[in-house]
Amino acid sequence: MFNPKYSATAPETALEIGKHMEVEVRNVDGITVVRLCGPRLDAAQSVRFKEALRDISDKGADHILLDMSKISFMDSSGLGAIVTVLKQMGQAKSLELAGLTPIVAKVFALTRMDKIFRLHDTVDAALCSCRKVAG
Amino acid sequence: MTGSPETGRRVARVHELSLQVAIRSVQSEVSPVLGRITDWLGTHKINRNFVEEVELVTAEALNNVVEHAYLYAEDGEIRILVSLRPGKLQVQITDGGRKFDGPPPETKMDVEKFAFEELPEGGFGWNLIRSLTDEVAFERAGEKNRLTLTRRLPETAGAG
Repeated sequence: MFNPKYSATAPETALEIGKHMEVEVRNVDGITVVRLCGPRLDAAQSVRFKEALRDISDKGADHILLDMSKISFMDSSGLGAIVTVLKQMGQAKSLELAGLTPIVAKVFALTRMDKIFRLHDTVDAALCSCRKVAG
Repeated sequence: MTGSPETGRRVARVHELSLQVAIRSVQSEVSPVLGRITDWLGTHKINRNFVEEVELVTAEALNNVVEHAYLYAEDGEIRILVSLRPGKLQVQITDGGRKFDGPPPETKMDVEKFAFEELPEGGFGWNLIRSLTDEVAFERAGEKNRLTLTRRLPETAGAG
């Protein structure tokens, strides 16, 4: 849902996707930055997460950057949900991740999913690298 | 603190600490019980990274029970026993769900070899459990499934 309250600055919307999870969405130069407010991306949250990301992608987000910095715990269901979103978006679009906390980074490394996803240290670093490519 | 009998005698004075919790087989009960376990380990001065890894393997094991042993039926009971002994941390999970044949054989899943459309969305759980534990033991105890995950502790951590 687009919230006109924020339209004067950056378009931003907050979306409740469950008792313990919320996402904030903002658009930066064509990149849709989706911040998971956390703190967990686990089996109890994975269905809501997938639905929320599908909504965002269906509304026309072709390049999504997932800000994971507030996620202090992710299990394999959470990882699976991110893979589902990647596949649903398809190869013509992009889904990249930023700000992985140590345990989340460990799950990506141990499953070798760090070879599949483009991971960035921070959202700012990710946006910089996108701009460089664009320029 | 392993090895000589003298050491064994000395460490025998240290209490074995344990935490027992029972939950219903519902996904929404998993994260609170993990919080309880991590808090408890925290009070016993277990290193944060280590606690996070224990939380992860316990989550994977509990999710398996909810999904595969109880098939999402919410009236099942899951008992969790976490014990700290010198040099060793154990998580034992007991359920009365469908009979489990034990952990699947170890497989190396090379996700880079998958076509984009075929990328796996699941099946990571046992790999994570094996990667982050030193020993995985399963037994059928009467009508119950019992999984015991053991992780060696750094010598500086643990009961004491």
